Amino acid sequence: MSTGKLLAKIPTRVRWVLMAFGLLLMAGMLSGDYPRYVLTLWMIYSLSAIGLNIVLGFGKIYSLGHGGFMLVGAYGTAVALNHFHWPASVAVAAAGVLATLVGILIGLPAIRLKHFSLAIVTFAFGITLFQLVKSTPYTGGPQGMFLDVNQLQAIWKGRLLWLVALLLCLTGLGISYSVMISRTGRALRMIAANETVARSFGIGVTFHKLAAFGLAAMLGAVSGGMHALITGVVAPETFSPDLSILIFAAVMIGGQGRLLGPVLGAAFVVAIPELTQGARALSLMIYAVLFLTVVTLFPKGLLGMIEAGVRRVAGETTAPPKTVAADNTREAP
Amino acid sequence: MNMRRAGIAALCAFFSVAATAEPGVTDTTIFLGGSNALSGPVAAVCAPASYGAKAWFDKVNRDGGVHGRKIDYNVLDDAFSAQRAVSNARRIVQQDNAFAIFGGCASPTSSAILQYVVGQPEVPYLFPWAAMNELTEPTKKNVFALLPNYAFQVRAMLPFTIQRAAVKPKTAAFLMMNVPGAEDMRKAMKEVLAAQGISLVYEELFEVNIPDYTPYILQLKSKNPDLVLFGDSAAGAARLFLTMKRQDWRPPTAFGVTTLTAEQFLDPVGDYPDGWLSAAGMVSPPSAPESKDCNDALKASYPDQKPNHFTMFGCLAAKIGVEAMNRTGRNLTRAGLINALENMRGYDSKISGPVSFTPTDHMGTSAVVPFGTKGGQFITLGAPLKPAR
Amino acid sequence: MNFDLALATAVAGIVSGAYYSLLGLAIALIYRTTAVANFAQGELGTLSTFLLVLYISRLPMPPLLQLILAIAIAAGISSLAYITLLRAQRGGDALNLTVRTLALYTLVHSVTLYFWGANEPYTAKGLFSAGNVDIAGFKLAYDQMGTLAIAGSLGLGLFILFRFTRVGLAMRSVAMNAEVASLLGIDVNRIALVVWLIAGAIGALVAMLIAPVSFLGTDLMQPYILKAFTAAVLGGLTSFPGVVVGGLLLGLIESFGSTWISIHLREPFTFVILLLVLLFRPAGLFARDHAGRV
Repeated sequence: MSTGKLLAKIPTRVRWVLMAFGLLLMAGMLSGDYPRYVLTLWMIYSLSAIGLNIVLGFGKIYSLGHGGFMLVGAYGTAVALNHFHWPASVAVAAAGVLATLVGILIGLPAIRLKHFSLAIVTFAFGITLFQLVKSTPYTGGPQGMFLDVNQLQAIWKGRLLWLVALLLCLTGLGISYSVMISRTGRALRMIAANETVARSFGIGVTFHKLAAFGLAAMLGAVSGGMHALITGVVAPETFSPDLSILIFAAVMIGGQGRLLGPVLGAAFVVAIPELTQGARALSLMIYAVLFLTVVTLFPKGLLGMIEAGVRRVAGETTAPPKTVAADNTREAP
Repeated sequence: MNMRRAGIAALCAFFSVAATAEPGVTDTTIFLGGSNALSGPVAAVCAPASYGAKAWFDKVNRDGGVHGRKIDYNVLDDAFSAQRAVSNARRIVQQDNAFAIFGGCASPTSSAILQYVVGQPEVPYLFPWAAMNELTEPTKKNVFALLPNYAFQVRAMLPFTIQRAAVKPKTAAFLMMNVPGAEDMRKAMKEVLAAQGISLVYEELFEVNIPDYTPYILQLKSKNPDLVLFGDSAAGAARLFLTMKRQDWRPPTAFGVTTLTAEQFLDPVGDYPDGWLSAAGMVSPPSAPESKDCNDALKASYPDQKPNHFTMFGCLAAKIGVEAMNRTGRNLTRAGLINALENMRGYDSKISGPVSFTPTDHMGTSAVVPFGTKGGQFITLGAPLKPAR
Repeated sequence: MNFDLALATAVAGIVSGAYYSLLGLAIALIYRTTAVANFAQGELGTLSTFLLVLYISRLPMPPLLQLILAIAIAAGISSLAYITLLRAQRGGDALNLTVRTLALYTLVHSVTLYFWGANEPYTAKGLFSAGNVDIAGFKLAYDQMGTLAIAGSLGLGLFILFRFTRVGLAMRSVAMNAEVASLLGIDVNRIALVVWLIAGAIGALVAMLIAPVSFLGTDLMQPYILKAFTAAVLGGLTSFPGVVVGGLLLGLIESFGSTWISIHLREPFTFVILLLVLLFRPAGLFARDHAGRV
């Protein structure tokens, strides 16, 4: 098949997304060092949110410990770099694998528990990991660990890390999309709707739930590992339970269950502190209000809001179904 | 500024089109940046250091500035988070193009900034309130300190404390917050104790500002040491002492590091530590006559801020910074500043011992002042102390 | 460990256990009657304590009245939160409602940080003087005794409320089955409001007991939220006395574990206990039937 025909086969929506990322890429390459640093962090948080979206958005599993996966990724990378002296890419990959195992482990109670208990257990998971890394010198205790990545960060003045982050985010989107249209995605949606019915249909609830947790953990860990490389610091308070809530809010704000929702939500995680010039309490307040508003008034998130607005402008009166729970052979978002 | 110009300015900021020759220096302004815990668990203790420094800079600006330039000192909040501290440092250097990173407080955050600054060797990092050895050991060209590190404090003052005890201690305990500098302090303590024939029966590190010290005090109580060395943020230390009161146990002698010399420690504990606590200090207390101009400056800029040891330290840091910039001259460059500092010998700040730097020693002060408490006030217990070596 | 030390450890454990029990009760109450896991339980207490320490305490009123006023305000804020956030927008399912409390937690935290984060920690004057009482050679601190007395009275008061009053009976019926209760003529909405009011008051009281000891900061109640949930879960969310016993048990295990074995294991203890209970006795330690609404 010729390239032209192949390109023509790419759906319009995907082409728009790729174009948008292309523009983003250029912006990051040309900007000053500090804006590029912020953009890189945006990509990293997007990756983490994409991971959580698989569990939370597709499967409606309320995982409140996602920060724990990022913690495993960041600390895994730091330990691999500082104690084992592995190269950076290997460290991050290894952390990703480790986190996947942890994710599956956390997923195990998820099979038996539901709703409230699961939320509590995942929350407790996040807190416990947080306390654990603070308590041993191996992970730097309360001070955390520093990574000798000054050279890595200086490559092409941070553009290498930017490229890697962008590519990882795109990869994450790709993974998310393929889960969406795969058996696991369909299974998750059915489990989310009614688990007993799903089981009666012969769906391997255990397998698909574990797969979801494993994927979320892996993406979260890679995100955490990259965070460590980009900032050079792995400090416990970065991965406190508040981080779990932050990413959770990002997914909901952007639009849970949507493909690009997490990316949009993550933009707020990064943008609000920058816009408020680091006035911490103010930025947290704005974020909290946004979170509260979305959860109370706009359950479809900002993406849903934007689409509703566009539809109204375009004059449509009835909204064609756009959420994931609908026809799953059509491509998202 | 109309919309178009605002847009262009934003674009320029995004693509970082800078214009000045020496970063942070214009014809009229010197721009300094800093990161401090302005909110969060140690804010009440750490933030005053920034206010003390800013107040002094304001006074200098009123008196004409430094060779005709006004100092603009902008402090960002890191809320005692190492992550945010690095972010702030990055912003200060890359986005705000500051002349130097100045001040700051607490060893965890200062450590993080240090890591970043080591990768930016042209940017001066001056005088954080942080007592970890790595700040000046080994000497880094662009990093200068004024606060003696914890190990130094122990070596200088522990023998004095032991000597002062009514009955010579036979056993000792180490209960210290887990921050950069703690391990070096532990090592120094072990050396001093060994030299004096005192055995160490308990050593524990804890997280800064934990809400409940009961398990630690109960453990200490069961070991019943004659001497306890400890360190925590002032508020945490206050809680530690109140827990001792509640559990009805205290050691006959206690030694605390510089973090204690703050009113957040004194106010809650009242006269409980009188007679058996000694703590290390390095700046004149606000009540001393020589502290007057710092206090006046503070009152002019921050009338609601009570003078305390941290505002005094901030004032000291600012004084040294201004002196160095003055010595550098009208042609103010980062390299010139570093040079001026390295050639400072025996400068009299009036509120501390003589301040000296050399190309191989970037620690400005060389003695600690022994403090005790009496009737809810800090009092000096003797002349400044240096380590025996 | 000698007897004196063991006793001191036990007392410390019971005091923290009392906090966990009370907070756990508040959480269980809310969960049973409105099916919401209230993550904002602690923060509302912190907020009201700030109001008490920084503003209400300056008013020309006797301290006891100040305390009551602060608790009343807390109860009011709690019910307001319930009305505006949860009742007004019934669109979400139970989990969505829980997420709203998560958002509320973030909001309240940010508000306390915004207004009072700059000078924390603050010292808060305790209700009890700093002294010890001598009981046969063992020294018990006034504030420990006082805390236990207050917690005990509150627990007793709640017990009487549930057992012997009509409102309490109504609350228990709603907790058991809201639909049936409403069919029987109970105004479920009103009961839910009362429950949130009580929970808010409990949270505020606990925060005000903790503040003089831990000093008042924006993260005052942070360590307690998970422990409160654990206590609630230990009681299976069904049996209120179970929550009390669960909380006390948790406090004791934690206290002895950290003083005897290792201080650093304090939090992991909680997690392990929580996990074990949820996996093997999801209806709680004291449930007779094991089909819990978990």
